[in-house]
Amino acid sequence: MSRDRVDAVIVGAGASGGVVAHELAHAGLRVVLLERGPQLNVKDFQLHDEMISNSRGHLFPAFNGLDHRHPREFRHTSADSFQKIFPEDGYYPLLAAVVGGGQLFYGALMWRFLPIDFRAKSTYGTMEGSTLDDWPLTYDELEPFYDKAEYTLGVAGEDGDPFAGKRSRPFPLPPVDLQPGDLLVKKAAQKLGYQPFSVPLGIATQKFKDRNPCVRHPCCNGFICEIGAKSTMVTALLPSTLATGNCQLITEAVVKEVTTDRRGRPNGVSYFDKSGKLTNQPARLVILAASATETPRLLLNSRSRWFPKGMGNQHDWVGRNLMDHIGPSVVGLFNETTNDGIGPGPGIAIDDFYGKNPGFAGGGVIYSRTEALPIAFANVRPPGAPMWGKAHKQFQRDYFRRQVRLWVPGEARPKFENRVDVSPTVRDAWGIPVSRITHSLHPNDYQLYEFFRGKMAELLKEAGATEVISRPAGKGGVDAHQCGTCRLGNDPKTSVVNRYGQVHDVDNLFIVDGSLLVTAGGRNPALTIQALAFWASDYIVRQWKAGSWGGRKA
Amino acid sequence: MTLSRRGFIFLLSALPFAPKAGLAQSVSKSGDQNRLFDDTERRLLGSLCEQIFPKDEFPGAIELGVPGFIERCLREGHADWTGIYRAGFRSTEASSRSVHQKAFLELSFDEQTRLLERMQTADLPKADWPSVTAKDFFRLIRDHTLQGAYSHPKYGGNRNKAAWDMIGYYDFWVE
Repeated sequence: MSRDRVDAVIVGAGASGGVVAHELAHAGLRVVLLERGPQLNVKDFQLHDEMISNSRGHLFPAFNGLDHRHPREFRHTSADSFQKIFPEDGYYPLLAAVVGGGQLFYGALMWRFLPIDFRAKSTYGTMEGSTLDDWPLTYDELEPFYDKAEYTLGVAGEDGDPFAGKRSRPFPLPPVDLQPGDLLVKKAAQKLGYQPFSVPLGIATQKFKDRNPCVRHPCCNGFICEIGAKSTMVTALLPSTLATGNCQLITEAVVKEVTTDRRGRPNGVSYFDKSGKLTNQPARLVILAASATETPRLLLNSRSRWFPKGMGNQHDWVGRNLMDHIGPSVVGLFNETTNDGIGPGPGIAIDDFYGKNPGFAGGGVIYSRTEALPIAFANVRPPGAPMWGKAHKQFQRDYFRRQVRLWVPGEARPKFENRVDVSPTVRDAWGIPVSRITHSLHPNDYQLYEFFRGKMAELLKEAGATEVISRPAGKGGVDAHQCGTCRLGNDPKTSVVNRYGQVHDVDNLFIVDGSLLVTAGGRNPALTIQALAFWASDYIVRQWKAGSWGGRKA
Repeated sequence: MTLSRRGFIFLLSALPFAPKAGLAQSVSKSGDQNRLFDDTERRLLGSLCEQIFPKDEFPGAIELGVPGFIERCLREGHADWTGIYRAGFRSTEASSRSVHQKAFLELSFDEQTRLLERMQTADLPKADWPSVTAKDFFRLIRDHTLQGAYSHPKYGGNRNKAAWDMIGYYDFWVE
């Protein structure tokens, strides 16, 4: 079956696909937005309920552990053999197959990357075993799109980070109030000579457009916001996108491949619809926003005689440089109340260890969280402490509201060997070869981890912690911050797309999701992914209006 | 019996999207729709849960309703773990007899505690644990008991939200 041709088909109705659909539909392009998951209403979720939270380590409700239609494979290095994994298994990267994507459930950290992130190679130099590179765009070039993303989606924060790049406008919303534990960390940071500031959050801290303000429920990170205070494509972009009449959203559409015409030019996608029927969606432009672990799969599954190694993969870079963040989490126990029993959780941050640190490359922003959830906290114990019985209850009583967690989304080194490719043997329920993931850490990542473990313990002790709890680094694997698999670059030999997300040598195929990131930065990636999606959309609309791809001249 | 590496987590979230047909029929037709376990199994489960979350100046697992919570979760969406529970009950009983020459339910509270400590570290005769390891069964009981005690009262394991009150967790939409 084939549908009518549209101007653009977008694969993936998540954080980035939602931005591109919004921008293109408002510019007058006719768009189809495909999503493999369902569209859920708030009432479909069991709300503010820790039993369904990813804080306990399982996947988001829309892609739950009993859904075995989406297997994958995982190994750490080429010396290991691949293991088949399902969504409830470790090493299965968090995904939310649902309209809105993972952003529906995110912790709402909405940082801009710092100017040095765009000059990673210039800042840190080359490193053995790493494909570290500079970005083909600068912070200043992306700034207007950070601004647009913040004002379109709604970001609350304060302009207090001395390492941040220049902002054209202040934050559209004031920062969330700090909790007692955040204030302890802030004071300690100042005493140690650091420069603390409030974290930027994608949360309506006041009424924002037609959205209700945050009610400070402690079930925030890992939960959909039942009142819509969280800034997501569903709350901030989708209603006006659909209201243009130019965008059709099709859910439970599992895309198989990018199709080509007789000359090898992409001309749409084929997908299995809700009833399992293979359907063609012809389009002048094909835009992939399926995530850093699914977009490369789609490209590699789009093989033809013009693309024998998969689309965009002439130089074997599709799926390479798979990254996430590597950083410890350190919990400090206090003798005084650190949290008033409310959310959202993140409070105070420092960037003083973001750039050059002694003995290793990279860094990250340290930030505090003071909220706790009862089941998750039952597993937060110093080594050797009783995990059950009366001693468990006593600890839970003593510290549930007297703890502060510091975390750093530390910048992991990109590695060529860390990759997504497609399995020659394992297929999903639709018969499509699945992603298989190879991921291990770089030696630098372990140094970074231990350095921050020490710094964060020091900061917590200065703040009054009587004891600190942390764990050594694991062996790798990616999760919610998966990124980097179709990197931006000027040189087609060492990247997949140009600075606008356009696949090298395939002018009507764009990638707009976390796959684009050249380096992971040392902060949560949501805002940067969305700013890049605004940046790519701006380029597409300008080219369209200039007559490219059969576009209508303005 | 495969156990998820993410842990022994009751995926309640899965229930609305999981096929539910057949689950109700699989329940024993004794008239008690909640019944999976017989009376002895229920007493054993209660004692195990109470060891994990014992009564002190605050309610223990039995008073909170944790054993019923576990039975309900097994019945409504995790029938696959029922066999592990049954095997674990048999093995607990076998180890109690190996170590104390007495049924588990005849042991004193402190004797039960010491047996669970040995279960946790797999310091019990391996022959008593042919189909589930002592460590795995301990972890299952431990994790499920705490999930019951600390979850939303609507699931039945945190009666009167007493475990939340104990730690100062306050859900203003439950009040």
